[in-house]
Amino acid sequence: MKILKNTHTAGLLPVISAAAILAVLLAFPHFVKTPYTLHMMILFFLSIIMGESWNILGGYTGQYSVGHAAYFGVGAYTTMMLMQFKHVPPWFGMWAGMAMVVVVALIIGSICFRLRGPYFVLASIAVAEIIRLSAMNLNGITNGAEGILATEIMPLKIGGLVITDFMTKVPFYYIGLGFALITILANYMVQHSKLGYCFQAIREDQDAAHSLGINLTVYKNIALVISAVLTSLAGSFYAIYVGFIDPPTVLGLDTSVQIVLICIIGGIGTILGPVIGSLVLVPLSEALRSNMIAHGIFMTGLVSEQSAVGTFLKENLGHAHALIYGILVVIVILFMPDGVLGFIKKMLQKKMP
Amino acid sequence: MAIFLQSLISGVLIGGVYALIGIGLTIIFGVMRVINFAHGDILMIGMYLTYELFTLFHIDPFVSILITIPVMFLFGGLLQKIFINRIQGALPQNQILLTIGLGLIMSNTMMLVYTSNYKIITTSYSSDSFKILQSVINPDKFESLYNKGNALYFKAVSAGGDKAALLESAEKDYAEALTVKSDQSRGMNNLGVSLTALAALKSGQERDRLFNQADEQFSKAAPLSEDDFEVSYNQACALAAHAAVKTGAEADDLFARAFEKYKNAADSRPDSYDLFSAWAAGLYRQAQLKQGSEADALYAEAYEKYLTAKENNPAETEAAATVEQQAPRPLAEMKSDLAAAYGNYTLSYRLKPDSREAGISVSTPLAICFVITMVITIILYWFLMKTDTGQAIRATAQDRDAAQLMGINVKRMAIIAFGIGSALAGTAGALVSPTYYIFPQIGSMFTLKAFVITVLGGMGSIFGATLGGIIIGVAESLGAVYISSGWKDVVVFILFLLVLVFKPSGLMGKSKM
Repeated sequence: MKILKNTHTAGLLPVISAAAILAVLLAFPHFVKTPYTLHMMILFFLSIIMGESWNILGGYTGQYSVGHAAYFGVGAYTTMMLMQFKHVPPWFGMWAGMAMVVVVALIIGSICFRLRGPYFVLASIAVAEIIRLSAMNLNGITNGAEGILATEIMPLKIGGLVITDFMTKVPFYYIGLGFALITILANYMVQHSKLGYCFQAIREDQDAAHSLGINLTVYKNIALVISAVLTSLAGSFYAIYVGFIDPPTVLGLDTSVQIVLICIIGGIGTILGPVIGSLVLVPLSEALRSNMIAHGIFMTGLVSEQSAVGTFLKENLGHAHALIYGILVVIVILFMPDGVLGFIKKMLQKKMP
Repeated sequence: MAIFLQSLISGVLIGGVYALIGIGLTIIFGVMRVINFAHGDILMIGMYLTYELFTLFHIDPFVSILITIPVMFLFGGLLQKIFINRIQGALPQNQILLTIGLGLIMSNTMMLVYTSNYKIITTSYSSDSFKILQSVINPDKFESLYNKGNALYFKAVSAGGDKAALLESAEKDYAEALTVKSDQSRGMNNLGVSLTALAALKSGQERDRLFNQADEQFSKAAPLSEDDFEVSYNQACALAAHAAVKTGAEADDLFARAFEKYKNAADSRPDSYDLFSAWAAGLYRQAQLKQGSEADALYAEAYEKYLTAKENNPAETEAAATVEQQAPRPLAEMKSDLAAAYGNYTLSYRLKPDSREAGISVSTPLAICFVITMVITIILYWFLMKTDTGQAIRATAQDRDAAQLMGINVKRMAIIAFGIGSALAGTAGALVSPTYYIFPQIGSMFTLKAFVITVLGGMGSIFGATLGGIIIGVAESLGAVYISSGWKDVVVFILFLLVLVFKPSGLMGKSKM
């Protein structure tokens, strides 16, 4: 509600700044050509897509699903399997993935939405685990624990014209940006529609919403389907961009937790929350992964790179990049229960009463 | 039936540990209304603690729980005081996320310290097992008699004592086993073997009778057996042994039949050392009974088998090669070689291998583990039911506000409850460490199992958690045997969902959440 009011009162400023940011992002690959920077941006977009998708169910409707890896993974697997085994181009496979996810989401919804609070959380985890274990065991269909490696991506053609052959990171950059915008737009629309008000009523008080004539099961399922379809988009994009998927990486509990954390850290139930969360998480976890933190420690001179501790840090710090998720989430829950965004807002309000 | 009971028992044994994990989670939930997502990670820390105690101080994992329990209790208490306490009364989602975060910190810190390599605690009893219910659980009477016969036969062959008496009782057991199930070639084969061995100890008519009976058994066994190597070999040996005590045409007949059987056996296993030695020995015996060129031909044939046997013996392969290069050898040398090899040759027989043992095999570490979990569970029940602190914990779990009004220090109870929960998880970690791989990410598997167990039993119910643990252990074990080990966790999760949907309060739960 607050954001809605702000946009109206603050007038054109947010629109202009959004347009400016968009213009910069659109022009970005023309000025920055280093693959690593583009890679980081793509990871950033991916994280936004995942976070914003979860936000519709978890943020607006208040249903904390810790099983979103199910939709991410089903999307990734459908697209990848169609591409590798049936030679269906990913931009068609993606739709098949979404259709598949709608089916899966409705099945999961019909089971899990009978439950509330912690029980819903546990049920969502259980369903995602069943899907992961199935992908693991159905060797004939999914290639099991070996995973699927993309050997070739068909060039995107319209008519006879080749739009892109996916040889560089630039097409992925624009696709990621596009998807991120779609999910942000979806959040905006949800927030400003009657549907979104119903979602938020369910979040605030399920029983009160029910007594007002809101059909809980129907609206929760609608929120789930929107959220799941967008998550499957993220999954398909991930599969094609990374080019390799296996059950633990796309269907594991860690993926589900990561999706939730993007929102929690940024601030749930807001459009900007997942963006802020991604801004915090992606660089930090990437810095750990690529050993930047270890190098930083060496630069301070506290530990020499050649010493036993130094080699140990260099070898192991990269493997523990999820550590940063843990530390961040503990800090956020204990000290900023409304996420980084909420924390900043509170600080600003204190300064400007 | 035996397989079913076997998996049922191993399921119950591992279920004891699961119960311990579930009880820990349920106590924490009962007192604090917080679902502890870091439960499996606490267990993982218990495993590493046990690992360190074992590698650094050589403390046995089962003894180390005396250290693990207080250490993990303190760890849990501190965790509660520093972190969990602050979110008491916050949104359940935030509580869940905080414990998820703590779990991530624990597993990733351990990964930083120990890397993600698997660690194993190898104790002297890690792979030991023992048998129970041997007299009760046998698929049928045949197996038990058959096994008894085998035991007697081996005793007769290996140890001294009254061989004849032992062999006679073995023979009786086999014969009785065959009256229960008359189509078992392994029973006939072994009966034949015991008869032959007995015959060798007797003389005169009785010996002939025994040899003939043995021959009859082997002949019956051969068509029933899938791989008739053993049967043919034993029959041939029995015939040769019989022939060796005869003379004239009678001996010739028996030898001829024996060699035919040796040939049959050689067809199915041309790389056998025993077979060719026995064959060569038989030919050598017959040659000794003959004269002139007939004998020479037999000597040559025996020598040929002797070389094949040598070739088949891995220990003598090189020697055989050098011998072959010198062939053809003069007859005298052949004779002396054969005399050296078969002068004092005794035939050995082959019992059909016994794959279907009676009784149920129980893993020793799991059995010890189960006994310890039972002791701990009983102590815990006693603590919660009889002591003041235990009653205060139960009062807090029932109604926090009322307990506070009654003067119970609710905050202290929460710390104690979290401490007990962590100590139980840590103990479970110590107890399973001899049978599981230890690695930093193992926690999430146990966390999920702990949820399934507690929800199944009813959140907050200690008896429910005990029951839930055993149900899950059995479901997993049966799922692994009757479906496949890959799908066993799916069985558990489906069970979980069914309970969540149809009886969310669990089997023992009172209040609907």
